[in-house]
Amino acid sequence: MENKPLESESSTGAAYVSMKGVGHKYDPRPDAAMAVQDIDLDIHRHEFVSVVGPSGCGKSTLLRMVAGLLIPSHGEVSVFNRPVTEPRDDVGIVFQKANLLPWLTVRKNVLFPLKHKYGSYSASDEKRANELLEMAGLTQFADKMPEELSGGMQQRVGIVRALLLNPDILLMDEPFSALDALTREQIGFDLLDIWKAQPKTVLFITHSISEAVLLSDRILVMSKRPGTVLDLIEVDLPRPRSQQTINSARFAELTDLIRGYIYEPNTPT
Amino acid sequence: MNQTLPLKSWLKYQVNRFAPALFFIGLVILWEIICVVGKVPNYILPSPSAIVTAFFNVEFSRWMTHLWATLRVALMGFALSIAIALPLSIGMMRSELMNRILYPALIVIQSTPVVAVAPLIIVLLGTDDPSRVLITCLITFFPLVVSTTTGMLETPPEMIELSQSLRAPRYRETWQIRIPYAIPHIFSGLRVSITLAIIGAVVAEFVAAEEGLGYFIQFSTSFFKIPQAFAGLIFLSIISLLLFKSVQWIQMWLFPWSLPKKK
Repeated sequence: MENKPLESESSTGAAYVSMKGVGHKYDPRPDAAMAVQDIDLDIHRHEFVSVVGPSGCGKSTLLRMVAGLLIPSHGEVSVFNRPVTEPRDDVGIVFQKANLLPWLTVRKNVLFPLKHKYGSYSASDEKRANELLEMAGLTQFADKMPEELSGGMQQRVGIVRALLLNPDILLMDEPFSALDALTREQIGFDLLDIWKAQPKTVLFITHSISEAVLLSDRILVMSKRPGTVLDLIEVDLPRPRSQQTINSARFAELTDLIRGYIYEPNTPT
Repeated sequence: MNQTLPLKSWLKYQVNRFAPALFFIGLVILWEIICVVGKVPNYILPSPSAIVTAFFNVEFSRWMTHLWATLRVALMGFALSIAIALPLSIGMMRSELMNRILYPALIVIQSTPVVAVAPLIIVLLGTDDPSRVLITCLITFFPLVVSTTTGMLETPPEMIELSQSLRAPRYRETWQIRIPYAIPHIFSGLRVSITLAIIGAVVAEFVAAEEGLGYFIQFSTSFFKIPQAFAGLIFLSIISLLLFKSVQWIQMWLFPWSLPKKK
């Protein structure tokens, strides 16, 4: 327990990312169906929160709302007590596919957010990119083209790119779902290492229950469309988490608990 | 013993490699045999040897004059096409309204037979290069607009979200994300367009010209110099092929990442 990098929870107290009565429908007609509905969620600073739920339950919708890429039709999303009304540049986003630009080297892909936002970057930015690449174990691939890297490495570059502007919030939209099972487990541990070295408030969308339990502090379980909150589960597994965490009895209990929600159509709590 | 196998596979490799050339040579030989054995008169179907003879009977400098006239019009028309198609595509991609206004107009232009309009253009712009360049441009720009627009719209939506979340200016979204993503599409459009450019130049020369390979072919035909007309036609095809290849070479040289991956 002493390794849990979450003292901030008590020190800041207040919610960092806050959703109050959030709902959204893509179709503005009054009788149209809601994509998500009645979501209340408070995420503390540097907390790792996962969202699990069946396909199409609006998990990605939540993520886009925090990024300000989508303004909810109902309720309010706020970050540090300020409502989100437009795209915010203090978030890093990691997508399902790495989405690296095939015409740029790995290093230039990592530097792309700066190049794209400001038109140029400085030598110290390059230094930072190199440090991030080193942290992710990618130094020797810095001058390679993305196509020369494996899927897992490409996704690691995607994470490093999201960290470049040193965002407070890291939004991850099923980032490992395109990877094979072995790579997926390894990159999960890598992500925890990165998160420990560079604490971020993480909103992690996944449809892998065990991945959510392994990585998170808390897990939001969502129902089928229209997505509502079925439960918010505290993951009381000690950190740092490892292969042994997966084998523990508590791990199995928690995954079973969530599996129960996903496979039995429960009424919202 | 050990050497037979590599030799065999080497042979197989070489045959494979030169298969297109061998097929072509076979076709020419067959053509020659048909002409000689069937005693086909030259004014119906000249034999390959008659065509080659006709080619060398025309002075080299004359060939160059005609070639330059056609190439000049084709390349200027092609360049004008690119200069029009790129901004037009960007505009159509950025504005739904512009797309709705321009798309029908483009389809109308594309489905109008340029051969029919060519004389009108000549009446309008005169018998010099400008009218020929415009005719070429009309034939070549549609595939360019379609491929460029398609390419820019096929950018992964996540990259656009990334751009939005960075609050980057829109012109950088276009230049740093959409246009590079469209490069493979743009180049397939360019490959189609460059061959159409030669066709456009020849169409224009058929209507009004005093030089150029199209003019040369038409002039040779009307004087019943059929082998010479064929020589002009084949010369034209070779030029077309070279231009097509040049577009591929430029893509390989400037944008190697945009080529389809080899298995």
